[in-house]
Amino acid sequence: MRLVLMLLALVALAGLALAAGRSWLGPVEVMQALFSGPEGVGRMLWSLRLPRLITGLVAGMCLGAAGLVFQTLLRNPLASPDVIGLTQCAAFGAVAALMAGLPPMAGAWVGAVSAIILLGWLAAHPREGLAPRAVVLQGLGLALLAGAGTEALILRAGDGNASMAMAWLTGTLNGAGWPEVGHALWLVPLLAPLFTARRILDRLELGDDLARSLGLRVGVLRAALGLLAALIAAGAVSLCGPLGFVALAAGPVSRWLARGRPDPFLAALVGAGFVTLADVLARGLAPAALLPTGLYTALIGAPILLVVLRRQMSDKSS
Amino acid sequence: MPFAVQDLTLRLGRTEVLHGLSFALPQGGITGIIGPNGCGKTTLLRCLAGLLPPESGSLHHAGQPVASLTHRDRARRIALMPQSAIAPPGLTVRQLVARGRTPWLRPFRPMTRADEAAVAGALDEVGLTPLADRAVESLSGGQRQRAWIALVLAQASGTLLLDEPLNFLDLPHQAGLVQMLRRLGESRSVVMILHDLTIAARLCDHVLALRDGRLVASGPPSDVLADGPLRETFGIGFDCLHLPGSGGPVVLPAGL
Repeated sequence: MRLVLMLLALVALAGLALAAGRSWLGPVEVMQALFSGPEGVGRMLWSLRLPRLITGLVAGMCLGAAGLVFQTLLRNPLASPDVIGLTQCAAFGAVAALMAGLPPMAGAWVGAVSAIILLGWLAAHPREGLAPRAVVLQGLGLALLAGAGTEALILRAGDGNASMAMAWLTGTLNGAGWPEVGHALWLVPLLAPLFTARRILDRLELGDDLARSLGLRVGVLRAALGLLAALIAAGAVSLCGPLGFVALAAGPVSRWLARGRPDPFLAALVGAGFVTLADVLARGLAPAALLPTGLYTALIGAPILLVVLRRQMSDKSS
Repeated sequence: MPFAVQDLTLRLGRTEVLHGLSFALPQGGITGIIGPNGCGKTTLLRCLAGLLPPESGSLHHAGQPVASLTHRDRARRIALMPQSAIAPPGLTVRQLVARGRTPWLRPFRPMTRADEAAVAGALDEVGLTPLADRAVESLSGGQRQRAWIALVLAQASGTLLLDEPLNFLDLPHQAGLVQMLRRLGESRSVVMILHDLTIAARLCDHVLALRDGRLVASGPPSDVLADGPLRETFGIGFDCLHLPGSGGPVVLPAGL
């Protein structure tokens, strides 16, 4: 039921995203433009708004699902990829690749995978296996380090590439066209397996020993889920920059919708809705300014996160 | 024989924690593991559950090496209730107990009627059926302990390993749980870590005493829970008082 409502809300938001912009379209005009194809009346919609919408949806799904997966694996509602440094390492890799003339998604992947290998190695406890709290704390440090590295790269690069990299670092869907949609589709086969991981995440929440005695290969599953989540989060970063708060807020919001249970599909829908809403606001409120979408995800995401976390805290203490 | 252990040595990181343990446990009934804090009781229990591979020596369950079992097969034979288990917020008792069916579920399929029946049976056995739809965190300590035990019962394995099931319970709850554990031992092999030696004397059919990762004694409680072996295990003397007309001795540190 909540899933159906969430899907309906997402469809409504998508419609709004196609209608919003410098020139607003009515519902009939949107339908006409959609069905007329890329030629004629639908040209603006097909060449600008549709690819932008699809890129935002995929990026939002990736960030939302990755956020929930990391928060569940590390048993910490704050341990999303943007807090434990994956997003920052992916951004560093993407900027480095961009400046070297290589595909940014490859750079982002290298950055994020190096980050999880490094974190896994740093946080490995000889007696107890992986220590989730250590991952979160060391990830905070890694995030600062990678952020500084990215700034250094941009400063060194001089004017030409730097302004482009700077705009992208706030997180923006400006400039998302059909080539970006092509890149985004690469992420779908990595995203889909996570949607089947609900039962596994549910068991991992009970603690490592109990999950293992229930027959789960905890080490293998955690590594596989962590790798997939890192790849999709990094992929989303390479598409539209590190959109703030999407990964962090989608997890708690989706849990609230799913009565406390981790559901990566629901988290993906929440993330997609979140990015789409932010982009509608970015284009609808100040169409001339074209402020980066990342500004609005932070503006909406931070309060939502505060409300949901406050709710969870008060639930626990009552 | 649920477990046969031969010359088992185990390392955690670089430290050797268990040194050359050898013992065999009787089929059915309750085995208690006793020993001072940090002597390797929990490590031994995790090793029996197949979660920690021995460095050397052998570990057999019902005649088969535990290491040779698949994860799922192992989970269907041996259930562990660790102390580290976490009940996620908002989870109901029934949902928690249903997690015990994990090794029996087919991938991507919902629970079958047999799974539902096993969950209902486990709830019944621990007396939590009336509270099945309450959130786990809203239960009292004793009820919560019963919920975790119901989870391993729903796992329907013939061998249960329980890490300090009586911890943090007041005396009436302890007494109630001891009655329940005694019933469990009638149809299954149960191995549990215990701190209260008087309860161990009255509940267990077999006792393992550990000190510093070495086996001090293994045998019926009347042999192990006596001043000699206990002094060797804990490093202090004990008074074992035999009350007329009751099960086992009352075991107290000497001079208490």
